[in-house]
Amino acid sequence: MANKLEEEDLIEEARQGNVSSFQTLYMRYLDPIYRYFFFQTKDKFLAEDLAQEVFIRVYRSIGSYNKEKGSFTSWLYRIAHNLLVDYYRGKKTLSLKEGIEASYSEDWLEKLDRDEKLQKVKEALTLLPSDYHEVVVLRFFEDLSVEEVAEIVGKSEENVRVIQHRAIRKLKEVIIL
Amino acid sequence: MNDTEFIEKLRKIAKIEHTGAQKEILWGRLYQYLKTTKVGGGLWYFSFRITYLVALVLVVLAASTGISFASQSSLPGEPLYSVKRFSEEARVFVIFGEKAKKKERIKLTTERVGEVQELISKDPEKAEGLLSEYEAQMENYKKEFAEDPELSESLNSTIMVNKDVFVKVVETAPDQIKIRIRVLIDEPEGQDTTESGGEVEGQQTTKKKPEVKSTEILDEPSSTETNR
Repeated sequence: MANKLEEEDLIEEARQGNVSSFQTLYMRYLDPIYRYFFFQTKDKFLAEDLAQEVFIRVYRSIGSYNKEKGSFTSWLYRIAHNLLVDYYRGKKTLSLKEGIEASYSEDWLEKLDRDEKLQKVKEALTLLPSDYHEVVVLRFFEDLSVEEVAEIVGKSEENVRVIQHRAIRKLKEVIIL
Repeated sequence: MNDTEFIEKLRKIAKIEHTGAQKEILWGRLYQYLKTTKVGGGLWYFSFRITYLVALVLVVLAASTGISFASQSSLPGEPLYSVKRFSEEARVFVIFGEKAKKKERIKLTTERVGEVQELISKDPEKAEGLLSEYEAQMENYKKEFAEDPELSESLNSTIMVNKDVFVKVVETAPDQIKIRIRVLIDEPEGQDTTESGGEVEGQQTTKKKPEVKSTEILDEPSSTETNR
């Protein structure tokens, strides 16, 4: 609860132009947003660029965020979802130059590539229908509620439940953990 | 393995995290972009300007009726305090030029210190809150103005003035803030003591960056980004 209140304060301060508060939100949500793109694009560099773009959009539009209409998390992922849709439709060019000043050390990249279990999960995701990926990432990896996922992906809660059930069945068939 | 256990394992495998240093680099890139990009032309910015203009008119009206004047000696928790803060913001807003605005903001820190002085005996809890605000502002200003000799000088002179006030109040200050006031007195001017040094890998960092005013932070929301 305290964390929730603290977050509301941070959002409010960011709305008023406080960059430190915006930075705290960025540090908090960078990893989840990165993972969201990483598992859907399977590209660690593109995931970084898209994640940065999300925060540029958040920065520009946080004034329009209304907590009465949904949680900040849902709003953030909704921006990510829209960005990904736009990106794949070829509508969106990224604000930050792609592929320049890569922020990852070789070690970290190698670690990602060498992680066999992670590779298995990535490969298994490719066996699922594309609209299942997002539900898997949000429901299983990020532990969002069915309600939140439904809001983000624009499907009914029932639909999300069906997808998650089918996805988990399929994943259990193809991944041995 | 049941579904819950399987999902838990999946979650652990998928938990990719950046190191603290990587986050700092990414934030630095983003911050540079945001700082150098004009994002002030949008609808929100427009409404923000309108809000401020309306506020300005209100402050002028209030001043003409003596409210603004009366608010100048108010303290946090008092009814006119918000008018005082509002009129300060309006004063900064109408100043022409970014550097002059920054100088005015530096001067305003003396106002906060004066309030701390007043509140120490009346309401130590509020004094503590103001002191935190002052510390955060100074931390930001020191970083932001480090590269600008003129602003650094202005900041240093203000810090000296503020220190004089702290010296007067330190002995009577309640224990919970006495040590913090002593640190502020002992702190050399123009030196940033807030850097923590070594970064712990994977740890979330909260190092503060220079404050950017509202006019620089927000822009028109795109249709795809608003709440549904």
